[in-house]
Amino acid sequence: MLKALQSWIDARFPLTSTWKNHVSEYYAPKNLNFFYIFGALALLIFVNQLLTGLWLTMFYTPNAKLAFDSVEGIMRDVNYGWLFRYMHSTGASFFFIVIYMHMFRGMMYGSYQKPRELVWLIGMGLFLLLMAEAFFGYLLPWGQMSFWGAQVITSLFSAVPVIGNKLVIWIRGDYTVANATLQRFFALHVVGIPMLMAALVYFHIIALHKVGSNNPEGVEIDKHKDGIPFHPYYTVKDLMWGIGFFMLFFAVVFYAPVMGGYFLEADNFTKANSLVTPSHIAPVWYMTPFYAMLRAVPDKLLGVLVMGSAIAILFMLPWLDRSKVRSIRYKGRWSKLALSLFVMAFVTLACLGTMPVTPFRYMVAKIATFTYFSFFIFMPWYSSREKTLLPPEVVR
Amino acid sequence: MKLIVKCCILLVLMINAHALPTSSGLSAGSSLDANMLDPADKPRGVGVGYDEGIPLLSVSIKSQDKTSLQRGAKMFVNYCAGCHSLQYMRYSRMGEDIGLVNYKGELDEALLTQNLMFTQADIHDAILNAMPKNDAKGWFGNTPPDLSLVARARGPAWIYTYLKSFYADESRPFGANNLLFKEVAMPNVLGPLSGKVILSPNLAPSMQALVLIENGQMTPQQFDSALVDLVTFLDYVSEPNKWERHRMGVFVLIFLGVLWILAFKLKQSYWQKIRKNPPKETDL
Repeated sequence: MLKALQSWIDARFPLTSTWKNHVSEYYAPKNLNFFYIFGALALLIFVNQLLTGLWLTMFYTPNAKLAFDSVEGIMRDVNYGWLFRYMHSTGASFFFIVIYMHMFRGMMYGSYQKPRELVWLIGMGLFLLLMAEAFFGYLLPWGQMSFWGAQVITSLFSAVPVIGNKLVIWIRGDYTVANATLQRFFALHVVGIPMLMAALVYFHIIALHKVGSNNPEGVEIDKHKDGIPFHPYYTVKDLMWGIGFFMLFFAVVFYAPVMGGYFLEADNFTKANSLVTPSHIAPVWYMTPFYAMLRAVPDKLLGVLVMGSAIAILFMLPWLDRSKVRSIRYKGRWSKLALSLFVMAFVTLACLGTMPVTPFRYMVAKIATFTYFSFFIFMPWYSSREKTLLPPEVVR
Repeated sequence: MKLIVKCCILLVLMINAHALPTSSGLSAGSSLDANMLDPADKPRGVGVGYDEGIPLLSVSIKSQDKTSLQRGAKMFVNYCAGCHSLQYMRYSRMGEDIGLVNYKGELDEALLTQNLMFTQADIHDAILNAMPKNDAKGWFGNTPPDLSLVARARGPAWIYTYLKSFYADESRPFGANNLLFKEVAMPNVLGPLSGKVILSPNLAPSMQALVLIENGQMTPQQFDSALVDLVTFLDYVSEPNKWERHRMGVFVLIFLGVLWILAFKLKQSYWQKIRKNPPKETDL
């Protein structure tokens, strides 16, 4: 009976073949380590954001007069509204933790190198969308930090020569961040960006399955000798890590959703007021590395350009790396040093971005910004000229 | 290659082209509109007051102590509720949560209405007050803010320190000033309880410079304890679901823990096969 149904469907829709191509007969290297769980976790947290977001949308009111009240209504009067809201707000921070680890994995094992350039580019597109999604979503609670954060970031577009000021008004739909801004950010946050993200996630996976997964050794596998089918081996592994991840996630949701002001900022529990500026405006932690770079340059237009290039240059990575090998395990000492410095610079910038500027921190931010860019700019030299080790022929 | 070198030089120039801005410019976020970010330059309305940023006193709130919550609620409705609302808190919800319940565990409406409700409100109404906003602005220079979320926005330590740092100051319209929140519009409502406190002119302005010169209805210890109750209550009001959240978390984490063990065993059983004999085409 089921067999008959299956063949009936298969005659009309590629059900069995899709399952085989992408799951039960998709061969992945058998030596994928801990760092390879973050792709599956990103998908998991994406679904978490979609579902909790769906429920929040049922009770949220995208109107400047009512938004803040409706969020408090969700926190107090809606059954388990507080749980959905904390899952969504904590989910945003966890999404970035997972994505940063996922990107770090790619950089460490050279997963962007030929033939996986498109996997990397589509992934970078997803990273851009994720940042846009987080930015638009952060305005919705309509607290002080929502308002002033959006005010500051939208004002950056005024740095564009000639049309800058008109552009800012066009983006905001008003002379300051106002109801018009809230409503368009709401539309983009719940419909526009998530649809694009879903499409790019699909492309990301399709592109990956065309070229196959990289692995910590960075060598191509003979899929029948060294590959194991994704299902059941990686489905059970991802299931185990997914549950482990949820334990950490829910520990935060239930016991530290505010996370000392890093996941939910104290100023955001005050309703937006265009006449009162908070004493210290800082973006949420996941944006702070780029915010610190913006502040490290004393000119607005140049600052915006530096911040933009910090992200743009990541797109170039597949063509900057001229190394003969993929994995950091077989790269030379310069690559190892550069990647370590890059990670340190990124973390330093992230910390600096949360703090007010002092002359000392300003200097540190400049050095870290310089280090961040040096990693990419000098990559064509140090990656091609350094002595590399010989990777094994097959994965162990 | 040449292009990359050029880019590199340009970057170095970009970062170092400008001299270090002055420290005031720095604190404002150097590449952003200074007037947008620096509140010190903002004109202030009369009677709004500003935060002095003195070190906060530490306070340990007794979150799950229902008697403390009840005393705090009593203090709030008697001393604060005339001017400050709790617009996101309902009387009935508050009554249930702070333990105004009968032997069945249901809300004791008489206890609530006779002790904590001095307005015409229904028990399911939000805790509002009758003070007209425009009049309040005329009387105090500022509308008394709603306090539903003050404990999340400011923190319990801030509220505690704020309420302890009122002192007599004849230059102010209501004869009181505040060490933490300078030129505050609020009168020293708790003055009759704490007694008369002055700021010693011989000492640097700090908590140590506040001297009690005339006893009030409470001893300093009683007053401190009453403030802890009030802060405990406001902390509860800012997030009424906190204890439900902490209670539920235990069960969720235990459930996930058990599930994780099962998933771990499942993974082990599959992967042991891989380690011992790599799968052949026919096994798959």
